[in-house]
Amino acid sequence: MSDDNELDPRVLSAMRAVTPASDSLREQHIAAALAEISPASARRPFNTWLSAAAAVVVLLVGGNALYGSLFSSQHTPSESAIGNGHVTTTLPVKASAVCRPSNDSGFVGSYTLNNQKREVWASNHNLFVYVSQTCEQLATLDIAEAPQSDFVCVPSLDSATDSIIGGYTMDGAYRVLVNSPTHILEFSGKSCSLLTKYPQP
Amino acid sequence: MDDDLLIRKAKKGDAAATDTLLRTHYDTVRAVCHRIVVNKSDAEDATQVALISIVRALPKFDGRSKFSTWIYRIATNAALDEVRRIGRRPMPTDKEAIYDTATSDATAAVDAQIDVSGALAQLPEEYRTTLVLRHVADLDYEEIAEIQGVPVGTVRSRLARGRTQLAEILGNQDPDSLRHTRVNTPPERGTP
Repeated sequence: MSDDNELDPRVLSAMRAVTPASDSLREQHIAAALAEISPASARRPFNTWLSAAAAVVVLLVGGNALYGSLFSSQHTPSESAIGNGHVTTTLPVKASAVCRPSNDSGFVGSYTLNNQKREVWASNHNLFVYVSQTCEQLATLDIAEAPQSDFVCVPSLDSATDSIIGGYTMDGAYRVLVNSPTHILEFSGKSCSLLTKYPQP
Repeated sequence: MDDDLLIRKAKKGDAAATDTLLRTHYDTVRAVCHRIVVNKSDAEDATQVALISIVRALPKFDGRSKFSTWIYRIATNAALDEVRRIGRRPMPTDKEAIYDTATSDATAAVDAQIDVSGALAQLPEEYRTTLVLRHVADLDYEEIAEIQGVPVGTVRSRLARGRTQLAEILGNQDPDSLRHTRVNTPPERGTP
């Protein structure tokens, strides 16, 4: 019977050498998992908030000018949001969902609009929006083109009206969908720029 | 703070303790997902699902397994679920779709990593998973057997066959001839 020594050390080393996650991705993963803890018992450590705040600052130092031109008044500039102490980085949480349009589709996330819970799926250059409870399909949206980027951007939000739906990758571009009262907004890239606005179905 | 105390606190919903536990095991959970799922984007999804599943299941952790074994079982299941979910999708063939782009200080080790990842993608799921649990998660045979629900002898057999096939795919581990060649997969012989 073979033993562990039969695995070439170079192969063993390579197997273990997974490229480390970026700080922003690690924070996103952990924050989304911690969001599963009930709010009453959640006491998020200060250093995690600090990391999230730092990530937002880094993201927005470069993108603030762009945000100023892209966002209407309902999207508060990030600097003022941080200055007011409202760093509300809502992060995507992938939960269970059932309205899958096809086997090769990926769940993006869910959101609530007018007390109706909806879920969004991505497949074959389309986004599909369903009513979670009935799986009634509300819309099929053509996914916008975007430069390739695996950067996990975290858009600044108006916490009163907007929420992150989730992130997904299409055509090599990682994208984040945001629920706003009138549109589904899509962001991507290192500057976390607004790619497009899909009308809310 | 020792692990037992952290686990007890985390089971009661203490976010700070849960945060510490997740950070302690994050790299290995993610590595397990990446090596089982292979496709980078899907592996990140599996990592996220695994972490969420860990937090959801924490209150039910009964201590019968080592905590690390329990966590890596959840990560393995999340990764395998992702593999099955994308089962009909063709495996990516270009390196950048599978792995992070090599940095400018790319070394022979990075080159080997690329070939190892591609080779792992060609292994049958049960061999790949067993190799990953042994060599990435550092679990012993008994722990792997517990996670996979098979006898220890089957774990040994899967490791031996997995290593053999991996070496074949990698051109007998000769760095000068590292290339991907598909191999036929013999049926797994059962157990001890």
